[in-house]
Formats: sequence, C-alpha cells, structure tokens
Amino acid sequence: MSHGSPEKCEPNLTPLLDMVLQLIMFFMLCANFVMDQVNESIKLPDAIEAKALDKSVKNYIVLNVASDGRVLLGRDDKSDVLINKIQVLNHLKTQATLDKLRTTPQDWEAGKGRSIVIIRAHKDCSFKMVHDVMEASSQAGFTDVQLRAIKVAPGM
Amino acid sequence: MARHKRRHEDNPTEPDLPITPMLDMSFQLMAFFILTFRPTPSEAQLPLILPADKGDKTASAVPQFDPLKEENQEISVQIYAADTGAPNRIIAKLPTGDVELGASTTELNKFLRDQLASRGGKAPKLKLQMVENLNYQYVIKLLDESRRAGYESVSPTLIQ
Repeated sequence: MSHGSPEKCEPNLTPLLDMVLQLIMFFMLCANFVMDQVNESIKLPDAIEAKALDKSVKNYIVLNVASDGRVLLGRDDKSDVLINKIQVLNHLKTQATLDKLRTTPQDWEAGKGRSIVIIRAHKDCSFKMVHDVMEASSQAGFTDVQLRAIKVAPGM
Repeated sequence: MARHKRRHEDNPTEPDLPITPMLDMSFQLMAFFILTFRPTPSEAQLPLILPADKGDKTASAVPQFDPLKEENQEISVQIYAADTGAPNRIIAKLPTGDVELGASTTELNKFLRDQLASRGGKAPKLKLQMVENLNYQYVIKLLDESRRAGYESVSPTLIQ
C-alpha cells in the first residue's frame, strides 16, 4: 500500500543552471564588442615591440587602409570610403573642426583636445598609401598617430 | 493559537521555484554568445609623433635647427625595395660615409645597436627613408627592429 502516495522524481537542475550561468558570464566578458570604426577585413602586420592599447583614449579617428589604398571609415566595405589623399585630408579637417568646437580656445591653443589618429593598414598595402594618410593627418593638424599591429612574441 | 502553530510545524510548505523557464532562457543566452563569439588576436599600437605641418602657426615657434647640437644628430637609413615589395637594399647614411647593410633587417638591428653603443647608450633620432613600393609589413618590421635596438624616436619618411 506504500505505492498509494507516489513520490515526485525530479532531476536536480540547480547545478546545471549554475554551470550555464557561469558559461554565460564567461561569454559576456569575452564578447568582442568591436568599435564601429574598426574594419575586420584589414589584416594587420605583426610587431614584437608594439605597446598595449591605451584604454583611456577617448577621442580617436580610425582610418582603415585597405590593400588597394582605399581608406575605409566603417566596419565593412559598404561604409564610407575615401579613395584619395584629398578626401582623407578633407575628412580629417572636418574632424579637426569638430575637435576644436568641443575644446576651449585656451586648451586648443595649448595643443590639447586633438584626437589621436589610428591607422589600421593592411599588411599588403604599400608604404606610399600609409604615408599619404600620415601626411594628411599632419596637414590637418593631428600629430599623435598610432599604427596598429598584432602583438607577437619574439621568435614567432 | 498553540494548536494552530503546531499544525504549521507538522506540515511545513516548501516554496517551489520553477527553474525550467530560467534554464531555457539561460540556454538561449548561451547560444547567442556562443554564436557571436569571435576571439580576435591582440591588437597593439606603435605610437608616432608627426611633425607639425609647415603651414601651422606653432611651426614658427620652433627654434632654428642646429646640426651641431648633439640632440639634433640623427641617423638616416635608406631602404629600397624589389618589385615584390620586400627590402633589397638597406643603406645607412653617416657623416663618415654610407654603410651597406644588405637586405636583412637583422643586419640593420645589429648596426643600430653598434651605433647606440658607440654613442654611450644615448639613442639619437632615427630617420627611416623608404621607397614608395615597400610593403607595409616590412615598414612595421623595420620600425619594430629599430625599437628593439633601443631607438624610441623613429620617423618613417619617403625617399624623395
């Protein structure tokens, strides 16, 4: 007669839930929330002495230089494309004007408030293509430039 | 009252929290993150300070260049490239004359280290003059070798 009151037989889901939540936490922390301006089709060259990125930099302009010399401003090839040095210079001058508007005149005169130009050039492009971008940056008044590369260990 | 209390102790009610919907949602979240997870290689930076443009007002405030001053003495290296974009000739320009360094970046590194040692460890400015068609990965390699040799102030320019 002990069968008269059947006991519920449920699997214990709590450890499973714990594990799943831990996995979610891992993927959330490692999720690659890439910047809108970083184009993933650009294959960067390797460098041993490259420094870690400075996370404190707030104002930056990313210029993705493709292997054919086009300068891409967005994440994909459909986004804004600058096809020559004059277009790059005009874009940078516009950015410089925006920088000036959000900076006090005193700070601007002291050389503060200017964005950092980040050049993400494809490893197969020529030096001339990158040099044109650097020259345009200099002409637009940007003196701080970062060349992006993939950090590798010595001997690789 | 006492009788009422005793009844509760005899038959305690257990709160039943439904875990299944939560688990369903967790699996969906996990699926989303697994599908969108793309590990990227660690990106790093080579900082450069560009000279102010000649038309800039601040350029006039720069004192006149004195080549005899020790801090103004710089090493100039010219890099030529083959049609493939790889360097095929590296020449160091020194006041005493040109030094051929072949086509190897490791030779350049050795030369730069020797120069640094001969100047008592004080690194002068290094100007890397490169041809237009030099492949960008070699540009970065040359900048990298220069920094590894102890030169922090390196300016990449085009050979005119």
